[in-house]
Amino acid sequence: MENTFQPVAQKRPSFLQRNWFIILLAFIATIIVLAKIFLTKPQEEVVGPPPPSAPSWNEVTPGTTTSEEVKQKLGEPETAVPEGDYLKFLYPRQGGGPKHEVILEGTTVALIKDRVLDGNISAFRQKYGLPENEFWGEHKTVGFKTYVWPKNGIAVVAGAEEGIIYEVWYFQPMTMDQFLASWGKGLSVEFVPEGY
Amino acid sequence: MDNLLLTPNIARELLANYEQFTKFGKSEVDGLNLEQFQKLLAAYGALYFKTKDVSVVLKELQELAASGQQMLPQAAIPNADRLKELAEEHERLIQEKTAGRADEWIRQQQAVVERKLENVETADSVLYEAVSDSGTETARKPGPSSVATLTPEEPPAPQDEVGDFVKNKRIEDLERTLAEADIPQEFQRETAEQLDQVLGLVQSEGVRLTPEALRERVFSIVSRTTNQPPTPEVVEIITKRLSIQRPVGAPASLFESTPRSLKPYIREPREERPQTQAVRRDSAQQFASLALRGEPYWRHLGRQLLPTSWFGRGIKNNYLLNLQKIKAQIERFRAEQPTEYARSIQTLLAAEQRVDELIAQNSPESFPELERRLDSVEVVLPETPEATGGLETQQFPSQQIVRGFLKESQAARQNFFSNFAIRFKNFLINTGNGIGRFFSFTLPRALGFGGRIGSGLVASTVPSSGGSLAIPASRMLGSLANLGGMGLRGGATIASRSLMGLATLGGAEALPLIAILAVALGSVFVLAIFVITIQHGVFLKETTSVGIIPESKYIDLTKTAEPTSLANSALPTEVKYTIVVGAKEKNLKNVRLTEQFSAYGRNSLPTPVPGAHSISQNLSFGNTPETFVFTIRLGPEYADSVVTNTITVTADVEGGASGEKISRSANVIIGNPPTACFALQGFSESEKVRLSAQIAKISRYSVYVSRLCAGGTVPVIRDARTPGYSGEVFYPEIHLYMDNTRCDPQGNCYKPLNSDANLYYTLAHESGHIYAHRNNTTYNQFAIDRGDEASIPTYTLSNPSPLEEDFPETIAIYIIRKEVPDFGTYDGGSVHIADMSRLWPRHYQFAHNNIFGQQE
Repeated sequence: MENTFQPVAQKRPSFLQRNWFIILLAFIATIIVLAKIFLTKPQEEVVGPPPPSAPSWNEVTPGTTTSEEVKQKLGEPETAVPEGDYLKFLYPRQGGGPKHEVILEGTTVALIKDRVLDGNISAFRQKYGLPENEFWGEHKTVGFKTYVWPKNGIAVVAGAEEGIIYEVWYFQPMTMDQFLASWGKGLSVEFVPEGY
Repeated sequence: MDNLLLTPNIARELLANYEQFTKFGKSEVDGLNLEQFQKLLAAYGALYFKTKDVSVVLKELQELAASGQQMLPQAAIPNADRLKELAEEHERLIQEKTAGRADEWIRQQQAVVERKLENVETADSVLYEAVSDSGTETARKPGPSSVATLTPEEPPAPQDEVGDFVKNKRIEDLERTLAEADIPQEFQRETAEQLDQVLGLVQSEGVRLTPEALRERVFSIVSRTTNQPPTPEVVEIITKRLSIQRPVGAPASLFESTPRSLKPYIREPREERPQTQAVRRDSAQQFASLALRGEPYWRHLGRQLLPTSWFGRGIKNNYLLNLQKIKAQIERFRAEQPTEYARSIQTLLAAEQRVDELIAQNSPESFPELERRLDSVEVVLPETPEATGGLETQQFPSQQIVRGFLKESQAARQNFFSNFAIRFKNFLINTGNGIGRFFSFTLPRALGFGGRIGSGLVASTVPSSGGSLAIPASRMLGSLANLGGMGLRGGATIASRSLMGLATLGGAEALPLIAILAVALGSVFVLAIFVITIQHGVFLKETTSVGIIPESKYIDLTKTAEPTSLANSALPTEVKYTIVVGAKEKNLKNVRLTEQFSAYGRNSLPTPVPGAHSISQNLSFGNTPETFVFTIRLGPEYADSVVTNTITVTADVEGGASGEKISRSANVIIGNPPTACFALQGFSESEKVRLSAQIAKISRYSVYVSRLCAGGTVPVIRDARTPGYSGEVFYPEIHLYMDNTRCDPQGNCYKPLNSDANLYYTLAHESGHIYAHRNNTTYNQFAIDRGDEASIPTYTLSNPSPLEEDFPETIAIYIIRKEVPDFGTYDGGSVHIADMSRLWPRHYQFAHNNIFGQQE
């Protein structure tokens, strides 16, 4: 009798059989991604307490007072200097020395630099608590640091050793990140020397 | 060349120049004769009007001038590149001539145009304009001939009544002006109309004419209409009146019904996305600064990748050094060739100012601008008896430097490795679309995870970096560690199986897991190095060498004392000084010697008297340096003191400057001189001797030192780094960079702190910073009392210097002004600082009264 038995060719596992695990993983990953996209609830807006109002200096308030109002309150500036996107009004300091700066963005006051040159930072610490952060900035090579209370719209440049104030900045209250992206651009946590 | 445009003003200039031949019989205009000019017109015609017929070109130009339209070059014409080059150079000539560029430049540009014209092969087919004596056109033929008389066409009449009214009023005003200038009445109307036409077009196109250019146009128009050239007085009267009535360059009248906003002479820049522009600019700057480094980029990159570079070591390039050299060369040029300097003064001053800005910025930004400015500076020396003939052109030295840099920059561009390194760096630094994509997609592929699925998996664990460089790297490390950890722990876990599966998918069945992890970790390590390197800002970190008192190029001087230190018990004794003086590079004449002895101790001390010694009047270059020895006797009164002898040699250099000067000091320490609160760390014995002498000098100011030292010890540390200046305060430490190097204008490099005067100044200045740290109130008071008085200019890193540098500078200058009376300034000059009270009275008074307790 003729041997009719024919060896059956072994069937090669299909692509799906060989890679089922990877495909499963990809499928699960796709589901997770889609679920993340479509099922995430939009974040509810958290209504917090109203931000503190901007501090004033000689009745000039950052974010509110216009250039015309500045002139009404402080008189004509001694000098008006364009500085990048801003216009800087310089007002003489009583008793001489570096001039006060009122910096305008468009027609509105954005920043005030009050050349105090006197007093101690302890008064600010008592009023606003510890500063949110302190940085090296201008006058760093003579030991002055910039202490910042961004939510209060205040920064104080004062000696790190004795706390004597050189100047006080007034600006619209903001977060520290916003401050560092705007008025605090030149500040650094680390002492980075720039000259001898 | 892609933005070449034929504007109405160029058309008018071409027509006006042609009239110089036809109307006034000039034989040469703008360096071209009639034949050349017709060839130029034919070239313009071929480029813009598809014709080489000069008469047609002239008509086309008239139409263009009247219409205010602009023309683009024809798309496909033979010889296009050469024609475009010619047109570009000619346009440049017209632009710069209108802008009042220096005559030398204009002459050179005319020569360039002439050369370009020679390269253009149009002569054979040019149809030259020919006219009969009666002025009627008779024939046009190839080849040069007589010329046509031009009659400019009237501009199209304005359609609106308001426009008519305003134009008539303007012309009436001009007629009155011409009457005042005694222009005959019959010519007034035509002249006024032509003036109005030209000025109207110029104004509406926003072109600013120089007074000279305006005069030129007035002269040309009046000559044309009256058939005779006007006198300079007439031209002056008309020009002045026009400047008042219609300031050229001012906006067009508000009454103009349809002002145009064309910008002739200024090619419209190709529209490019700001980002692309920024990348292009960055790359250009990097290639430029790369060329300035004077070393292959791969070597620079390699050194920066060394861990030592993260801490500021091993980084050195010559960018600012080269800027200093350019500045020094400009100064030298000013001093040595004042006449030639005056000829190009505007460009040189602009270049010098730019160099100053760049030095102050300590940044390679805008270097291409500097190149552009310096590139245009060429000096034509007048004919001299030595010159064999004609004018001799000599390139300005700085220009040679800049051209050299440009060459190197070009070479860098062509270098594959430099190109790759810069592009790769740009890719990493360009956080918006570079590193973000790199981390989220490219990296997983590079790690060999096998393709799309692998990259998707890793990408899901590693967010795009956005603007941060550090976070992705750390997350990347973390996620890879997790993957690796999972794989290693389980071996047969799902994670490892998935990894193996991925490897299989990628066709790497035999690839062991450990190899994958090794590649992954290796890649992460390399990337981490890049990230750290970038974070430390060392890719383009620049260093420089700014010194204080330059050395002499021609005099060699050394001086030693023996012994350099003594115990008090050794007194009385004799100290021997050995001085060696030689000539460098050139012979020296009229050699003079001055000496200054001083002694500083706890009490006031007598000045030691040196033994007899002298020096030859002349020293020859190449001969053995002259050595002489003398002694001084020190008695017991010099206990606990520092004795300093400063010798100054002055000589006239043969065939060079007179009064060349060099100084050297030698110090002898006896016992334990006062060191105030300074504590020396890391200095060699000889350096300690020198520093002790300076400290002893500073310690004479007892009020200052007592306030300075009230805050505690001031460590003075020898710092081996070379940040580009000599000292720095890291409160409460003073760091002295003893190895910092500076090069003087002659190219001699030296270490500033090898000079006692510089060491003295630097220590005094840095002590001023410490003083301010410890006396905030005095600092604030200085800000008030200094008022508007300019900062002291001897601070070499900036002028004016900020308050925080002016304060210590005031202290330093007050302290050193007597021993170092002449001192270098910011701008490379020197100032007699012994006159401090006169030069900076507020600074002096404040220091005298508030810091030094009135001690002189």
